[in-house]
This record gives sequence, C-alpha cells and structure tokens, in this order.
Amino acid sequence: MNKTAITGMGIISSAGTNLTDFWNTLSCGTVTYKEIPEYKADKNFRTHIGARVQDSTWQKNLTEMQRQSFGKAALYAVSASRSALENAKIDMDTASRLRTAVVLSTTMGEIQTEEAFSEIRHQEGFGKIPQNLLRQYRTDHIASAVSSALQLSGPTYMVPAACAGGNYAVGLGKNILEWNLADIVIAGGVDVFSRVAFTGFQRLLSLSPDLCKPFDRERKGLILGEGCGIVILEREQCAHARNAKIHGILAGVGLTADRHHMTAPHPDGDGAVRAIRQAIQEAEGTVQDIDYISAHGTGTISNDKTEVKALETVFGGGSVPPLSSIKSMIGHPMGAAGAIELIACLQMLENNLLLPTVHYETPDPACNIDCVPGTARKAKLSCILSNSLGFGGQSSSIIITRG
Amino acid sequence: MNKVYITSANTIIGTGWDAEQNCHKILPQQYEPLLQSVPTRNMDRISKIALAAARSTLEARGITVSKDTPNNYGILFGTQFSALDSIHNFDMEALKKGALAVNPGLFPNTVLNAPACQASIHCRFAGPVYTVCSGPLSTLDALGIGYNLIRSGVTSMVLAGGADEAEPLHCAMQNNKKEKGEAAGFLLLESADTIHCGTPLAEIAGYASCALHQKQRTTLSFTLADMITTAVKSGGISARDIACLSLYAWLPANESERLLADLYTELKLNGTREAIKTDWMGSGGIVQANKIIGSKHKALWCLVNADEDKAAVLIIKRL
Repeated sequence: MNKTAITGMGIISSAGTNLTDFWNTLSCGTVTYKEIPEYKADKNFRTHIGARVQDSTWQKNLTEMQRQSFGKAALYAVSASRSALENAKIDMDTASRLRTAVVLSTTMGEIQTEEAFSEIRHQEGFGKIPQNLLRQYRTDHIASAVSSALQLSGPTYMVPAACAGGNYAVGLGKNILEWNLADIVIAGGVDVFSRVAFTGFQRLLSLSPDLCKPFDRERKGLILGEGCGIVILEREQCAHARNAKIHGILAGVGLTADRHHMTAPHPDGDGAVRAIRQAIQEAEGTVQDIDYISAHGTGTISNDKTEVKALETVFGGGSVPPLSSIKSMIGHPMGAAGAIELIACLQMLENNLLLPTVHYETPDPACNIDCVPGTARKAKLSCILSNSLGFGGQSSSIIITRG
Repeated sequence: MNKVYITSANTIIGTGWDAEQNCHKILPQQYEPLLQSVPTRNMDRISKIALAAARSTLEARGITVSKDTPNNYGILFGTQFSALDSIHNFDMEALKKGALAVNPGLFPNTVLNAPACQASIHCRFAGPVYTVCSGPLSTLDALGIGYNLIRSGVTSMVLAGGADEAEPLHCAMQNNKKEKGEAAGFLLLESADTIHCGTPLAEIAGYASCALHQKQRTTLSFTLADMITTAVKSGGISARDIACLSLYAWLPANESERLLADLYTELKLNGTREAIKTDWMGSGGIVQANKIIGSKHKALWCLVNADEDKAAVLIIKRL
C-alpha cells in the first residue's frame, strides 16, 4: 500500500506562531503559560494560569474580509493551513486544482464566539444576539472556512473528538488518502482559549494553580492552553514525484474508545492499550521499534498514572521507551494537542533531540518512567509514538517514522 | 473491498409540535423508555436522544455487546449542532451565578463529542468514535465515512447516523423560514463477515462528498450530477439505474424542486424524485435513509445533500 507522507506543517501555539520559534522555545525548555490578568481580578476564578497565544503575527496571511467574517478558531485554522501548504511547497493554484480535503478537529469549536454572544444575551437578552455571531458558531464553518479561503474542492470534515481530536483528524486524513477520496489532505486540530473550559476544569478541580508537572509525584493538574496544528498529508509516491521534503511517514494509527466514563479514564487504560497496539500493528512494527513516546501527559493525577499503566501493559514494566510531555511547557491546547504534538515529534525526528518534561522533580512510584526531565536530550530517532486521550474515553495513538 | 450492508435501522422523528419554533419536537415519551437502566442524571437532551436511537437500532438487530468483549465496532455520529446548546447553557449559568457555582456534573456535556461517546459507553462499542459536523450534510457524511471504514476493513461494524435538536438557539442559528424538525437515528452497517444471521435490509453502494467553491455553486446541478456519477461508478453501477432520487438542500422549496428537475435532466433519469421540505438540520440524511428502509421498494436510491459550500451523495440499494 502507498504510504502516507507528511510534507507540510503549520503551527499556532503559545510556544510560537512559526516552526522555528516553536522549536526554539520547546528545545530550550521554556514555559509559555502565565497569569491571566482578567481571571486574577475575578473572585470566581481560584486559579489564574493559562497558556495563550500572545504573538499576533499569525494573522498576517489572512485577508481583512476573513478577519471580519470568521470566528477565531476558523482564523487559526486558515492561517495555519496556509503556512502548512507553504511549508509543503504546494501553491494555492495546485491545492485548488487537485482534490484537496480538509479534516479538522476541535473540542468546543468557536467557543469565543459563544462567549461573546452569551455576554450579550446576559446583558441585553436573546433577541440582541447579532446574526453574524450565530452564524460563526456553527462548528462545520471552521473547516469550511479553510476550504473557502483556499478555494478547495475535496471533502471537508469537522470531526470533534475532544483532546484526542488532532490524532482523530490525522487518522481520518490518512484513511481519505487510502480510500482515494483526495490527493492532498489538510489535517489537524484547533481550539481557542476558553472561559467555558477554564470554568469547567476549575469545577472538576483539574487545574493546576501554578505549574504543569506531568508524571511528578507533586503534580497538581493541567494548565489550559490553545492553538492550532496543521499537517499536509500526501501519498508518499506523489511526494517523491514532486521532490517534496518528507518530514515523516504516518505509519500507523490506532483509534479506540474506553467505553467507560465521560471524564475518568478506564482504570486499566483499556482504550489506550488497544490504541497503542493498533498503531504499532498498522505500522507493521514491534514495541522494540519505538524510540520515543510523546505522552498525552496532562499533569493530572489519574490521567498520567493511567497512561503509564497502559504503556507498561504494552511495553512491559521497566521497558517503556523515554517519553515526555510538552504540555509541561505549552499547557493543554485541547483539540489541538494531538496535531501540535505531532509537529513537535516531526521536529524531534528531524533534529534527533528529545524535548523535555520541565518542572519534573519528584519521581512518582506510580509513574516509573524516564520522562526526559528538565532539559532536551540527544537521541537517535527513527520511530515515534504519540498518544492523545480525550473526554468520553476517546483514545488515539499515531506512529511516525523517517521518510 | 468489503460489501457494506445495512442490517438494522431506527430513527426517532419528532411527533410533538412547537408552534413558536415552527418545529416538530421529539417528546420525552419517544426516547425516555429506551433509556431504562441508563444513568442519565446530568446527561443532556442531545445525548439522551442520540443514545436512545443507538440502543433501539442495536436492539432491533438483537445485538448486545457485553462490557469486556473486545471489539472494533465504530460509531459515526453526524450532527450539525451536537452539544452547542449545552455549552451555551453552561456558560449562561456561569455568567448568572458565577464560575464557582456551576454544576461540574454538566461540564462533560460541553464537549462536542459527548453524545457519540455516551453511545459508545452505553452500547459498549470499543472502536473509533467519530462525531461528524458537516452542517446539513452531517448524518449523510457520517453514513459515508462509516461505509468507507467497513468497506476498507478498518472496522467490521458501525453505528452510523446522528441527531440534532431544535432549541431556540439552533432555530436562531438556522435563520430560515422553513418548518423544522428534530430527528435522531442510526443505521447498523456491517460487512458480510459479521452477518451471521438475519437478512440485510439494504446495501450501501457508493459515496461522494466535496466542498463547493464559487464556480461550482453557479453550476450546481452539473457538479451534483458529476458527484452522483462518481459515487455510483465506485459501486460498479450506472447512474441510469437510479430509481429514486431524494434531495435535501439548504435552498427554499421551489429552488430545491428546480435543482432536482435539473439533476434529472442532467442524468437522464426516469424514476421518482423528492425534495425534502422540512429543515432537519444535520439529520436530513438519516431521515432520507429511514424512508428507504421503511419503503418496500427494492430499488437503487440516490440521496443528495447540499449546503451553500459543500455537498454529499450516498447510493443505497434496497434489498
């Protein structure tokens, strides 16, 4: 079967809005979350830390009309998709002429639009909500914005899958190429910083009041983030034919469900175990082939423990390859996490460098793993596993290898 | 490639009437009896109606999946709005009472994949769980992706369909004068490998979906005819074999009729045709499919969904 090549990447993250800044920030172990002034001023928020995109340069490849008519999630998606196509050296005419599909995921969609019209409704009543905001709130308009901005004619899907979303979108993108429904796929995830998510996670007592410390015994929870990660998928043969740079091969995907609980992971990591095994099987590899794992690693007590348990089930206790969580630096960008972490994995592959888990100080006996603490580490990499686990028991793993 | 059969189907169509919203609503008595033994405290309405439809579809096929049975069964939940109303209600509650006063038990309803995951949890489906938001094409795209997952052997069984609500927020977002309706339904799709007993009701024979850019919108009937031809060809059939054509489009009723007539001329068809008039939001596709299963007319059906910026086609052979 023709392999799926990843030939382009586009990023909008608190760690950077271009690939160079993103890599430099992460490889130096720089933390990008900080206190949010408006939450500090509000007594209803007991925690005030979040990772927001501060740099506004991502907007430069958008038109004024797009800025006025699309919601922020759609704007992130359009901008990152343009950057990813540029990185793949695919011009807009080619993308438009070929069957170019768009597959994106999210957790809450155009949530800042909802927050804007909720404030209007709260103060002035339902009838005062402007029609343009109601129109923006439609989830499918995020993917449609990409298709319309780039004049594409392939299938266009929004497939929300909470925090497993990025991997779900990339997985469907791979399928779409295999089913011959498209020639190029723009795939990824997007979520914007959200008061609703912040409120909800605060009420679930899942937010850390200070630092995100995945796998550390003293970990206190996650830090909410935002962003967008987009990759360009093509058949390997087509990528070679146009002499494209192949950042990596999407060798295997495992998508499963815990079928257990809406917020709690299965105690044995059932869905995660099956997703990892499925991805390895699809990649026609073995556990010995995995050089490094990009962990979901949110920094909550139960999620980290369950993920390690799942990894020990698959790899054997004491045999889990080095793993790390970049959420220790960028927080949790929800539906964008999988795609952003995939981009970090491709950069690690290119640079033969493992990104660190920062703030790791105290080992947790329940997480007996090498989490690349503190600083980046040189390593020879040819095969990487990346996990993303989401609300509702959505579990996903992907494997990338060198092109 | 596997053949893909429809082995069970159930769609809950709203029987209540809300004059203010100009809408057929699904009544509690239509879904609550189907949720017995399910802990529904804190579960929102969209998840309840989705889960009720999923359970009844499996029940009609006599399938019960036990908790620890390993399986790769998938769920494809198509929905235009999914939990958007629950997100909005959660946020309004936080604005009114303060962020510290909202019920944390309602937060899980605020992720757009919640209804699909509730179906996965309570039906014990352990494979991929996709929520598909494609506007009015949502359930048809969910059926099409489900068809391809089975056809290519990724999964052996899929519950595909979806649901949408018509609360005041959704009606305001739709902003049209059409009569609206709520519907929730699923088809059980299986490959020949999993059909050990029972007779398949129908076979899915083709699918196509694409974005429409400006130029294609001006020649919509030509684009749709092209899509239909592609979809039937993938199933090894000819467009001329289509006996019934059903169109669900965002257009006003008279324009839908005109588009349907143009399509008929374009494809040189002779059979029956129907333009769906009610705005079922994302559930239009499952309502169309439900009609096929309900009919005894053994024929080749072509379902077409069109929105301003995208369109999808599904070919179903009623057996």
